[in-house]
Amino acid sequence: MSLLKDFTKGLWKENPVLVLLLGTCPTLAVTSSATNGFGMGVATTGVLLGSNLVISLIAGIVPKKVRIPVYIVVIATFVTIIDLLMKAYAPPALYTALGIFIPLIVVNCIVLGRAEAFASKNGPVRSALDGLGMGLGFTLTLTMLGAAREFLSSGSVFEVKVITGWTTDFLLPSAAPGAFILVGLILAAKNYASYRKAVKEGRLYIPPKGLDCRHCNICTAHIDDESEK
Amino acid sequence: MKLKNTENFIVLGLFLAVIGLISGLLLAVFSGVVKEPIKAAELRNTNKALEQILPPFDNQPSQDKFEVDGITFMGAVRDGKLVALAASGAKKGYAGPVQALIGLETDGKIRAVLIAKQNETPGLGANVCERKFKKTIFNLFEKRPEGLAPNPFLDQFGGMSAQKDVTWKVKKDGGDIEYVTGATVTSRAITALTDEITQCFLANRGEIIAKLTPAGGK
Repeated sequence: MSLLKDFTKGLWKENPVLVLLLGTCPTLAVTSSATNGFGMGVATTGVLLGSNLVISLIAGIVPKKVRIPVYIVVIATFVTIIDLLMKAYAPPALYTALGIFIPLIVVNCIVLGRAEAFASKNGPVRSALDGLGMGLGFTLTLTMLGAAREFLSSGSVFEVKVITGWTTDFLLPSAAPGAFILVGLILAAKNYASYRKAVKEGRLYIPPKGLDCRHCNICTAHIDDESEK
Repeated sequence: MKLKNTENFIVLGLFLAVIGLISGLLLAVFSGVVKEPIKAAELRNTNKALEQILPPFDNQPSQDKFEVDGITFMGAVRDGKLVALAASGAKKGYAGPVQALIGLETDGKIRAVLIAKQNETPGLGANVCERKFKKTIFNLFEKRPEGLAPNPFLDQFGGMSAQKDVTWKVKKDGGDIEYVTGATVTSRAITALTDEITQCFLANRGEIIAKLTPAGGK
C-alpha cells in the first residue's frame, strides 16, 4: 500500500509543479504547445527514474560533504544519455523544439530535489516508484498546461485545430508572460479548492511550504488564519 | 559508514574523481553505440529535405557539393544533366544560427525555401521556419498530401530571383518581403540569408554549374 502511495503522491497530492512548485523554468518555457510539454515531461521522467534509482543505490557510500556534486554528475550522465537517444530516435520536429531545453534538465530542481529529499533516504524500489510518479505528475501537468496555452493562443490542441475558423494567433498565452498568468490562476484555483475542502472537513488548511504567504504582509490572509485557530 | 562522514578532502576529491571517471566512461561507450543511428538520422533528414525542394534526381546531392563563400551548393542530376541546385547557408537569427536549404533553378530562380536547422522561440520565431500541414478535427483522419507543406512566409520567395526588381528587406525596413509579427528578427534573418545565397549563386554561376555538372554530360 505504501508502495502505491509512493507512486501516486506525485500525480496530485505532491504534484511537483502545482504543489512543490519545482521545475518552474521548463514549466513556463516549453509548454507553448501540448506536444512540447509532453515531450519535455517524458524526457524528465526518464531522467528522474534513472537518477533516483542510481542515487538510492549509491547513497550509502557517498560522503555527505560532496553529495550534491555527485548527484549532479549522476543526473548529468542520464540527461546526456537521453539527449543522445532523442537525437538518434526522436522525430526531428520534436528534437528541434526541445533541443535547447534538454541539457537544462540537469539543473531542473525536481530531479535534484527528489534525489536529495527522497532517493538518498529510501531504497531503490521506492525511489524508482517515486521518480516515476513525480515524472508522470510533471508530464501530466505540462501536457495539460501546454494544451491550454496552445488552445488559447491558436485554437488547436496537439497541433490539431479544434476551432477551424480560428486563423490569427493570439500571442499572449504562447509567450512567457501568458504562462506566468495561467500558472498563477491554476495555483490559485488549486489552493482555493484545497482550502474549501479543509474547511468542510473541519481542518485548518495549511498551505504547502512553497506557497505559504504568512511571512508576507501585503495582504491580510495571515490574520484570517490566526483567528481560525 | 566511515566514508559517509569523512572530512578528509583528499578522499572527497578522489571520490568525486572516481564518480566522474565512471560516468565519463559510460558516456563514451554509449555515444559510440548511438553514433551510427545519429548519423543515419541526420542523413535521412537531409535527403528528405532535398527531395522536397528539388525535382526528381538520380544522384546523391549531399555528396556532389561545392562551396563558395561559406555557402554549400549541391547539384541534382538526372540522366547526366544538371536539373536544379540546392544551396545551404546559415545566418544568425534570434536564438542562434538559422540554417536554410534553398532549391534553385539553374537560372537562379528560387524553387523553394526550407529551414533545415533553427533554435527560434517555439510559437514565435519558429512559426516562420516550420512547414507543417494544418490539421483540424475535420480532416484528422484524411490522408495528408505528399510533398512540401505550406508556410506563407517561406512560400513568398518561390519564383523570386535576385535578377528581378525585388528589394530584399522586410516591409518594416522598407522592403518588399512580408514579415510575421512576433518573428521580425527571424524574418529579417531568413530574408537576408535568401538574398545572400541567390546573389552568391548569380555571382559565381558559371563556376558552380561547371563544377556540379557531371563529367560527360552537357
